[in-house]
Amino acid sequence: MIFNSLVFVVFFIAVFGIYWGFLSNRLQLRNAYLLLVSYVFYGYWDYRFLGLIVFSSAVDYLVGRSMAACRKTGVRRLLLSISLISNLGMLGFFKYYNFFVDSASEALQRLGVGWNPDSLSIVLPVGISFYTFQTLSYTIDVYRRKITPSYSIVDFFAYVSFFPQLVAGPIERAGHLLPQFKRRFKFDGKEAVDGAQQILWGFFKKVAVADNAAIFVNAIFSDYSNQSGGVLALGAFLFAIQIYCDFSGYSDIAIGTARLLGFDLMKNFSCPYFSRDIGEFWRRWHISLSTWFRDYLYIPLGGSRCVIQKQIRNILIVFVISGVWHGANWTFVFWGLLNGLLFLPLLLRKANRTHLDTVASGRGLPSLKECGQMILTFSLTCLCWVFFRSDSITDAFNYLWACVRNLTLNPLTSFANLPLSPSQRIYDFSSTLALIGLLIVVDWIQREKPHGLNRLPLHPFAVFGFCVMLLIVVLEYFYARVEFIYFQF
Amino acid sequence: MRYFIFRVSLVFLAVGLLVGMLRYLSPFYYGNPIYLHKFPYLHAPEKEINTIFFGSSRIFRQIDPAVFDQSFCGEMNSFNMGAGGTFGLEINYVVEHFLKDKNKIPKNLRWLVIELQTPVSITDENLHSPKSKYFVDHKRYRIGSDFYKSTYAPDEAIKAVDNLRSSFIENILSIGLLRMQLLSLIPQNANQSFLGKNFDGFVPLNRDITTDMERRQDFIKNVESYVNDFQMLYAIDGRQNVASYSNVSEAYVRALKELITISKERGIHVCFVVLPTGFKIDQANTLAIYEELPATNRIDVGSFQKFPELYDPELYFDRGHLNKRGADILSRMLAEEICNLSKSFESKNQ
Repeated sequence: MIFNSLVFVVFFIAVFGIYWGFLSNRLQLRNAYLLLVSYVFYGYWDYRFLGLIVFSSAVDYLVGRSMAACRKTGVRRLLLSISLISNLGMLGFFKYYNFFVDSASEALQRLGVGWNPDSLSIVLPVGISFYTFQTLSYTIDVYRRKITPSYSIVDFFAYVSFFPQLVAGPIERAGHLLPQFKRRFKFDGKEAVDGAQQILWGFFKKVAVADNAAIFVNAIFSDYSNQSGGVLALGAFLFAIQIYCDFSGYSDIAIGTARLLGFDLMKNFSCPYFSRDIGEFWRRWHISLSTWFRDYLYIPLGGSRCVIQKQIRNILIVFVISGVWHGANWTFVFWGLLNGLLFLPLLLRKANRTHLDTVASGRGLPSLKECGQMILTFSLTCLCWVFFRSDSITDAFNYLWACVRNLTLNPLTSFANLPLSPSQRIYDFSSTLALIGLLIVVDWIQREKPHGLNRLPLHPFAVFGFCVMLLIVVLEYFYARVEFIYFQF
Repeated sequence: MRYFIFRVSLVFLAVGLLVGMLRYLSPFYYGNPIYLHKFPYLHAPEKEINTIFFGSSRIFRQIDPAVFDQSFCGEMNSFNMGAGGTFGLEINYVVEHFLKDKNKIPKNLRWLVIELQTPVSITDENLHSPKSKYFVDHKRYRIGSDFYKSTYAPDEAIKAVDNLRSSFIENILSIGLLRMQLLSLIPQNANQSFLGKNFDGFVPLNRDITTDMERRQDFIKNVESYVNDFQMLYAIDGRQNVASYSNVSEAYVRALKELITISKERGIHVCFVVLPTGFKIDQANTLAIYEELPATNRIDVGSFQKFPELYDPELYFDRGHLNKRGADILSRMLAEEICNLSKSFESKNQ
């Protein structure tokens, strides 16, 4: 089930009604209900893959309990290894098997060794990267004795499969989410209204901005060699907007949906394009993943408490693995590496934690220097996104080269030749730009708040009118038939 | 909880009111861009239209009002309201709503010539587009579901009904329709690509036309097999057998008969026309319905045995459409057939 479908709307209204109407005071029943509806939510896509979640949950539940019952470090390590091997093995097989086999075969052929293994037609289970990382964090935290294991099988299974964040995050830590399954919630009207507004803002970003931008991104990237430099730059810009709105929109819907059920999920995006350097960007982009890598990979590798050579190695490892996490393609690996390389100058200058506050905090507008920093950082991220979006690294380099080579071509003629209908070129393009403009203004004004519609500094009637307008826009663009980009990650 | 429900309901109520108001203000045909250009032209001051052709591209591209008017046995001033990709359910909805408001019907209107079409199912590619849902009200949903269930294979019927239901719900909730509704409120300039050079709604498919070139190339490449199909369909199997290929949807036939009744009340004669085509299944379903209609309200100019000249590949632009030469012949034949029909029931009345 995807969020931008009528099926989900009907599903959630039913879930919400039964949840608060009959189950809010019966803790065990409530959690069992959440588990059931989460499995329905996931199984609606493909019920066969429910087995994977059940398997992953069962392994980590048993490992967690066994670890708590055991004092011997060796046995505890063995149990942790079982969890790591089963989770990463599952992820590796479903997501990376063909990638590794094809890459190995290609490398061997270059060395003159003929090896042509058959690729398997493997369907990537939706959300596998997210729930695998979520369960891994649980066993690692139990191993580190940071949390006590869950003794309720229902609570734990519900935590792993909690439907608002099951398929695209935020990747919740057990220490934050699991205790909430032990808590009784009382319905808070104001909190629920704010949650509903967050859902509305998420839908706006996803269906109105991201899906509209996708029309132009797809057209430009599919025929980049014939486009002018200006149009290619526009393509990179629009993809940056698309991926931000697609993913942060989904996160907003997930967080808002969870809030309507009384749960608190972590913030996943914090206006990343208003960052003043790459370090700040990565503290604001996909926060649940960045902090996961920080806590479970970067710090165990030694983090920043080691010699500079090791620090550089650690940073590059984290960024490359983060790239691999995003997809089984060399373009993602290169994207990760590039981000790591852009981060290194900050590390070497010990300036990677310079901007810990929000830009222009307490002020209406940024200074000229801050503007320059934000534009530079955004341009660098756009450059990286070209690798993320392209089909191959060669395509990405060709795209960037065409940006320079075709700089003198007339962008208007080039734009007019895109494989789009006249209505798309005129109406859809101008409305997309207008929606992006609205997004930037709201994001700027609300950059220190949890989401775009949280306590807007407007008269209540104006807020009401704005919500009505956004809902109308969402209704208009509800079906753009574009899949969530992050579903396959 | 009350606070939450009140606040959320208030927003939805306001949205509902705005959307409802917009729907009320927009014309019933707002979802079809071709109708947006053609309908306002019905009331152009220089026109005294007495006949309107409704249908798909087979009307739009094949019936030339100029030729039709000349060939008719009396005074005739016709207008081609055909629109590409407009099938049975949409035509049914549009004609029904067109006949509803007596004051908006051209005062000299005497004939409605409607292409007999089946309610072709909404494909996945077209699903969610405004044109595939603006006409799917409860009545059309009922008629379409009955048609698919009684005519299609079970798997195809389930898929077709699912897509129709989805369009119906989106129509009720006004999802993705606001832009077309707003557009319909803005007067459109007379556009020759929809109205034709004579502003009578006819735009032929010529060899130099740039649209649908893939279909043209496909026709040229496979012309022999298509000619064989034509002959298979109309000559070897025989007309009667073709009609028995398909089950008849009672709900759809009833809806067509309702149009005949409403028109009669307005003093207009409806005539359903079967047009030539190279698509075997479509034609089989169409002919099954044709057999159920009153003889005074149907004409068949698609018969290979009666009009073999209409199956000359030289007259075709692609598999489903005649070129300009073919359109001239068809328009003439249709005029003669309608003339004969009109004479036959005039003599009966006398």
